[in-house]
Amino acid sequence: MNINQLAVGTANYLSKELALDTSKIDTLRFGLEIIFAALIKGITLVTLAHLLGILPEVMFAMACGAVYRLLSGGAHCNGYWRCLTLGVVMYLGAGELGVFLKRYLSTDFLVYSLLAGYFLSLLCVMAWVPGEVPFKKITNISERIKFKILSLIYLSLWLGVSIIVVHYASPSLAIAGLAAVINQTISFSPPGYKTIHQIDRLLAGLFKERRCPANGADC
Amino acid sequence: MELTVKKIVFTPAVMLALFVAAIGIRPVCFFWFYQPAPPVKSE
Repeated sequence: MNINQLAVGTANYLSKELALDTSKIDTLRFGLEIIFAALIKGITLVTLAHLLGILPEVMFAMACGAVYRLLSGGAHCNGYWRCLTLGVVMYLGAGELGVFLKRYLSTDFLVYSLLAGYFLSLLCVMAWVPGEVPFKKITNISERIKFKILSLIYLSLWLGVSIIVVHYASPSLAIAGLAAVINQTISFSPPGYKTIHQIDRLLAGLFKERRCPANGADC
Repeated sequence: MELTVKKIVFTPAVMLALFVAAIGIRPVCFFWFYQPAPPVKSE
C-alpha cells in the first residue's frame, strides 16, 4: 500500500464515521497525506540517525535544508517511497559528512566554505527561485520576487547562525548544514532537476507506486 | 455511545488534517521530496 492509498482509505473512513460533507474528503486526504508523509519520514530519519550516532548533525541539516526548501521549491520524486529513500540518504549523508570532515577542516577554512556556499546559493536563488514543483506553478512576478527575497533572507540568517555554531558549538553541525543547503540549491537548479529525475527513474524500478483519487474504488 | 466515543477520537484528527491541508498549500513546496496532489476543489 502506498501513502496516497493509505490517506484516501483513512479519509473515506473518517468522513463516513463522522458523516462529513463529501466535498471535504479530498481536502482531508491531502492533509492526512502530508501528516503521514512527515511522520514516516521523521521517525525513519531520527531512528537511523540515532543508530548511526549522528542525530545532532542530521537534525541541524534538516533544520537548515527544510525551511530553505519550503521557500525555494525544487525537484520532486513522483512516489513517496522514492522520496523517502532519497531524502533519508541525503540527510544521513550530510550528517556523516559533517562528522567525517570536522577532523580535517580548520575553523577558518570552514568559515570560508560557508561564505562560498552562501554566495553560490545567493546567485542560484536570484537566477532560479522559486523552482518549479509538480502541483504549484508560480508565474506571478510579485510572488516570484517574494519567494526570492524570503530565500535570500533565510540564507543570510543561516550563514549567521552557522558561523556562531562553528565558533561556539560543533563544526560538524555547520558542515552538515552547509551540505543540506548545497543539496537544496542543487535541487532547484536545472542540472539538479535532471539528476533527481534520473535518480527517481532509477528508483522507480524498485518502488512501483501509483496515485489514486479520493473515493477511488479501484485503490 | 460508541458513536460518541468515535466522534471524540476522530474529530481532533480530522480538524488537524484539515488545518494542515489549509496551511500546506501555501509554501512553494514541502520540505521533503514528495509533493502530494492538492485537493481538487480547494485551489
